[in-house]
Amino acid sequence: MNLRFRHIYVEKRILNNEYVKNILAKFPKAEIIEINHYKDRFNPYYQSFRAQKDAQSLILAKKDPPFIYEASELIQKLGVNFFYTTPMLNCIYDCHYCFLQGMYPSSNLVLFVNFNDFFKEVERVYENLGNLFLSISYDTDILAVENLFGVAKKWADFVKDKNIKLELRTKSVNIDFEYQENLVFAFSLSPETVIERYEKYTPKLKARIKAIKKVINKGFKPVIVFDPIIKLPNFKEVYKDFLQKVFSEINYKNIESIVYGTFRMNSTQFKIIKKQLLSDIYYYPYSVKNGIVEYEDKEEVIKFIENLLPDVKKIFV
Amino acid sequence: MIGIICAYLKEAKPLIKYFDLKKINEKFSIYENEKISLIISGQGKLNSAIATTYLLSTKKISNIINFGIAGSPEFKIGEIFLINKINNKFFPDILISHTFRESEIICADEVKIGGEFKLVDMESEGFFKAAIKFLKAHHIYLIKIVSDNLECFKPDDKFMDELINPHLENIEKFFYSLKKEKKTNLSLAEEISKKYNLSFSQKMQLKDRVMFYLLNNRKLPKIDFEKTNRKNDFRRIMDEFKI
Ligand code: SF4
Repeated sequence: MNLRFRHIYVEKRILNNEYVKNILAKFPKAEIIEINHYKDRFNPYYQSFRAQKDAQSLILAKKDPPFIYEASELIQKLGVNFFYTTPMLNCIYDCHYCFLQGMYPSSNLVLFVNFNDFFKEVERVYENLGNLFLSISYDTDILAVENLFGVAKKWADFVKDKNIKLELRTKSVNIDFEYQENLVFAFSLSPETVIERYEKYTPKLKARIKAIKKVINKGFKPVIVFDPIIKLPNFKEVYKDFLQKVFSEINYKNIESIVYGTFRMNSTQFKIIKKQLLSDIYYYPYSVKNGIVEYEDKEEVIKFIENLLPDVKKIFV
Repeated sequence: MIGIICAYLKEAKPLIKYFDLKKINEKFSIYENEKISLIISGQGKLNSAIATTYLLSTKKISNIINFGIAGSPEFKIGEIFLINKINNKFFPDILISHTFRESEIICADEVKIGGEFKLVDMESEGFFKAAIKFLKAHHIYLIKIVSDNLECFKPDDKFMDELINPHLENIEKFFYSLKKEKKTNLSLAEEISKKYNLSFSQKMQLKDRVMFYLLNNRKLPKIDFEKTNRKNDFRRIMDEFKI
C-alpha cells in the first residue's frame, strides 16, 4: 500500500501563494506542517530514502538560484544547447536502478512553486543563445505528477512561440497536450518483466505504447528511450520479443530518434544504494571503469540491441 | 524490542501495569518484558538524552518511543498526539498509518505558562537528538497526552490512570504496527568461505551471488566437494552459483 502525501510540508514564506493553496486544497486529509526552509526537512542525515519511498511526503518550496544547468556532455553528443532544470526533486516512481537513491538523503518530493523565477532565468539564457533544448524531467518524471501539479503544462505554455525545445521524458501516460511543435516527448520503455520487477508504480508497457500512439496521432514525433537496458539472465530472449513488439505496434517512421544505453552508475551511488535497497540489480557481476559501474560485457549487449533497432536516428548514451 | 522513555515513573505506571513489565535492577530504573524495555529518565532534555542513549546502547531496540504528558494552551486535556515536528527543526518520520492525531511540539527548558505553540514538554528534543544517533527517524516516535492547559499542577496516580488508561489499547495496537528492519541471512556464504578458506574479496563475491539467488528465490546449490586449492575451489563454487 502506498501512503503518499499524508504529510505536506510548506515553507512559511509561500503559505499565501495561490498555487500552494490550490495544491493543499487537493489533499484535505493531509497533515500540513510549516517549515522555514525545505532543506530543514529534506537534508537531515537521519532519514531513510528507502523507507520514505512508500509513504512519500510532499514538500512545497521556493527554489533559490541557480534555476537552470548546462549538460555539457549532452551538448557535445547532441549538438544542441542542452540545458536542464529541476522543477521538482525526486519522483513518485520507484525504479530500482534510479540514481536519485544514491544522491539524496530523502525520497520526499520537493516541488518548487516559484515558476516565474525559473521562467525569467530561462528567458535570459535563451535570449543570449537564440535557441535552447531544455529538459524539465532530467532527474525526475515530471509528467508522472502532471494530473496533480500541472507543472509541464505551465512550461509548455511558457515555451510557446519561442525557439526552445522542451523535452518531457517520461514513463507515464499523462500526455494530454495539444500539438505544439516544440514539445519533445521522450518515452522510456522497458520489457514488461523489467517494469514489473524494477519500475515500481510505473504504467505497464501496453499503456505506454498506447500513449505513444496517441501523441503520434496528434502530430508529435516522439523519442523512444531504451535506457537502462537491464541484462536479465534471459536478456536476449526478453529484449528480442520486447523490441519486436514495440516496433510492430509503433511505426518507426513516426519517431524522432531512439536513445539507448545499458545500466551504468557512478560507483559511489551504486554502493550507497546497494546498502539500502534489496534488488538483484545490484548483485550482477559488474566491472568498474573510471568510477562507473557497468556490465562486464557491455559491448556485446549493445551490439545485440543495435541489431534489433530499426533504421532511425540512434543516440547511444 | 521496543524502547520507551518516560520522564517520570508516574507516566510509566499505567504502561508498566498494562504490559506487565518487571523492574530489572540497573543504573536506571528499567522495566521490561520480552518485547518492551521502558526506562525512567527524569525531567528535562539532558536526562532524556542520557536515558535514551543508555537504552539504545545496551539493548537491541528496533523502535523507540518517548511517551509522556505535555501541556497545551489549546488542546483538550486527555487528548493524545503523535509528534511530527519538534522545536521547528526536528522531524520524526511517520511512515505508517495510525489512529492518533498529529501535532508539533515545543521543547522548553523551563515550565511554560503561556505562549504561541500547540504542545509543550521538556524532553522531546533531548530524546530525539540522542535517538537519531542510533536509529533512522521512522523508527523514532513521540506520543504525548495533554495533561494540563498550562496551569501549575501536581498529578497524582489516579489522575494519571484516568489520563492514560483510555489510550492503552490504541497504544498497544500502534506498537504492533511498528516495523523492524529486515535482515537477510547470508550465513551460507560465511560457512562456505570458512570451509574453503576463501579470501576476503572472494567471500564478498560469493555473498553477492548468494544474495542474487535469495532475491530471485532460487534454490541454493549444495557445495560439498573435497577441498583442493583456494583458486580452484572458488572457481568451482562460483560455477555452481551461475547467474
Ligand atoms: S522514473 Fe526516472 S526519476 Fe523516476 S524513479 Fe524511475 S528512474 Fe528515477
